[in-house]
Amino acid sequence: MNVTSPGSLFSRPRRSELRTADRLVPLVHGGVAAISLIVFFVSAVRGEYTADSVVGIAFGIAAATALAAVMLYSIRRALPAVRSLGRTRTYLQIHIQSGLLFLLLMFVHSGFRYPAGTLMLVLWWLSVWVVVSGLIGLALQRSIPKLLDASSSFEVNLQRIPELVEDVRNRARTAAMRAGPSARAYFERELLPDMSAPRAALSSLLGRARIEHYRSEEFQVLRRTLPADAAPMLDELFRLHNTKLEMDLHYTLQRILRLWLGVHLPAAIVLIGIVGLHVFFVLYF
Amino acid sequence: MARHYPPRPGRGRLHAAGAIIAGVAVLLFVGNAFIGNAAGVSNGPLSASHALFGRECGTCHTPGEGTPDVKCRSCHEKAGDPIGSYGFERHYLYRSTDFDRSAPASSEVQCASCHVEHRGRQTSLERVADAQCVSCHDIGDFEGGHPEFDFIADPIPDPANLAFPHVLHVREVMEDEGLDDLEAACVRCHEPEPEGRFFRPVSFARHCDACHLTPSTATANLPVANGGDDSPGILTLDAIRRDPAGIAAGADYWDPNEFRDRGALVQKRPVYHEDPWILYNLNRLRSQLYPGAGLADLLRASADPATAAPPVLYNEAIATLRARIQVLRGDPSRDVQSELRRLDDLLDVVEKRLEDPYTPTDESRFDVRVTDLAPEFESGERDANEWLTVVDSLTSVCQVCHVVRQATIQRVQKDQRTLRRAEFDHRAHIIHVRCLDCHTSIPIRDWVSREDDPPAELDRAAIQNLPSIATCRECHERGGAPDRCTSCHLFHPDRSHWSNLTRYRAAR
Repeated sequence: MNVTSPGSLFSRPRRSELRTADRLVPLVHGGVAAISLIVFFVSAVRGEYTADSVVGIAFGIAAATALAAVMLYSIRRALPAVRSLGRTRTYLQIHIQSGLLFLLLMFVHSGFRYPAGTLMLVLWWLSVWVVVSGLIGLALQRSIPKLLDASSSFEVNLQRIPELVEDVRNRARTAAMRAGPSARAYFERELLPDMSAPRAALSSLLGRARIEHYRSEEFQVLRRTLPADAAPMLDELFRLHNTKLEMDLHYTLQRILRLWLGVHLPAAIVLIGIVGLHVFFVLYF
Repeated sequence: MARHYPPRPGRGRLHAAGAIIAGVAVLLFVGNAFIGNAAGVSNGPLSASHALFGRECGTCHTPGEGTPDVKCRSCHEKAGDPIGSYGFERHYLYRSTDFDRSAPASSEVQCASCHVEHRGRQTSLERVADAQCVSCHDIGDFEGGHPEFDFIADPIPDPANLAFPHVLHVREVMEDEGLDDLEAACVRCHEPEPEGRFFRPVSFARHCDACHLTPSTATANLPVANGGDDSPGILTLDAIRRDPAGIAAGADYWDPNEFRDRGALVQKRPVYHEDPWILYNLNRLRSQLYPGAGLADLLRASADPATAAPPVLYNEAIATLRARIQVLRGDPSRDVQSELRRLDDLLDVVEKRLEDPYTPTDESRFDVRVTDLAPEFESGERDANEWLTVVDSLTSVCQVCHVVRQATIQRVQKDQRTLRRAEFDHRAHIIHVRCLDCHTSIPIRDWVSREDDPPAELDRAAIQNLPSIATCRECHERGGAPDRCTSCHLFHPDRSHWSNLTRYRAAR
């Protein structure tokens, strides 16, 4: 997953930018959720509710329908032909809100009881895992653009980072050569290990604060030891070093998003399979 | 510029990983369901009652049909039982006692709808949610919506036909037996059955004989009949023994020493409960007054359909006939023996037919109606009062307690199961409350210590002395004693008591 344009797809649009579909999606989901809770509580108070009652089965069907709606986003991504049917933002809204609705309907269908039985436990925990990981992903998608916007001045493709790091490293070596022997020695000893490859580190998430202050004192000491005509080269070296740190930030964030996808997507696929299995067993038995 | 623009890797590997894991999971569960013990796909452990079938889903489940009732019946019904105990049809039959209503209900639900399984070993399958009952019987909960009990709101009139003041008898029993506890006197006559739910019928022999009808009890001096039917009177033992009907009634076995022959008068001492000599003469006098009331002779008391269902009357009549047949078995005559065998067979057929609840019965055949008075009494040729005076004298000892009308001792209802549609276990309640805490219609506690007796309208046998629903609600409320439908009502009737239910017809 790439974060291409912070502030577009995952940021909150202004009211004037909302279209009818964008307004309808939360209304529909909220309405279904409210009605479901009301119906459930009325049934529960009257003592009529079980998962296999008419109302319980209706909730189960509704949950499965919500899960099907969740898949629309993936289908849209996979089939270019359907991309003309609505905007990505709308599909993403449906994906997120249907996912939450699915979890709610799953709880209601089970009567808010912790399940017994292996299959039911697997289904229950998978549902929670997928929806919670989805919410984490939503939080990442809201926070990452802001962090990048504040800490980086450029955009970069994840797959190109190693190549760009190599380029920055070579340019830094040239700048260090031109700055003088002490600069070159400092580069070889201190900077080259940092610039040898992209690095995913949590410290990168400190963003601008880290980028501006990491090794800045060392550079200031080095500057006092070099002749005045070497200053531009030293500045260039510092700038290239900071560029490498920004790339590390990009790399770290991209790796987090990749990890998140690895946590969320396979589990979602397994969830779909288990839900289908549950429906089959209900019908069969 | 980059030397090349690498293609963005898709999510193919993640999809593949998810699909593989999903496929493995599905295979594992399906394999467990159809090859293994299905423990993995079960919705939860079975109750202790069905734990034996935990690994055999097919015992209860049918593919595509869920849990059909036929699976339940394979264990919970006797093979070949045409009526059975379970299901809506049986529920209608047993609880309403109206055989015309024994039709499948359109709203019938499956056994599994009420008896929900897969909720763990400790689950009680008998614990059915009130919502299941309320779905048909829309009365709300016990505290608010349950109607007043039938025996309070619309009681079956109990003529009682017995002079029985409770307060007097309780005083006598307490004094006689040196009792301090008032309720100990109650159980002196109201004996609990071994299970403790109900009470044994009050019996003269067990509960009254010790004080009533002592060896010194005697009839009045009664006028002897002159041999025909033209004057009122009773028949002596010798006269009865000359009558085949008297032989059949067992007159050969009556003790002649109990009779004092005083010429035109005769007296009997002692007098027994259901004294056969008194009953024989009473039947004779009644047949003179009401010649059309033939079947009444087969009963020891009146028919009174309000308190006794027809099968009871027919069975009593059959018992009388069998007793008479038994007496006649001593006759060596071949013709008599042949006739007795024929009568035996006939009675067997009648008893068999009575076992079928659909056999039509007509209890009016046992009634003695005022309109049946013999023509000679109607026309005034004979004075019915003379006969009735003899009846009064003959039954004067009986009338200390009993009511005699139309020359018939009126039937006393001894075994009155008033709770027709619910179950009540006295033993479960006696731990918490005393008898007179609930049975308050007769003010025994207020009067037992006093010298005088309460007014007749406060203390008579006709008072049913049963608690209203308000009494039950004092304890059976939300948060208190159980107030669920199944606390008192059984959907599936207790088979040991179904015959009691069919004794009380709903048609009134």
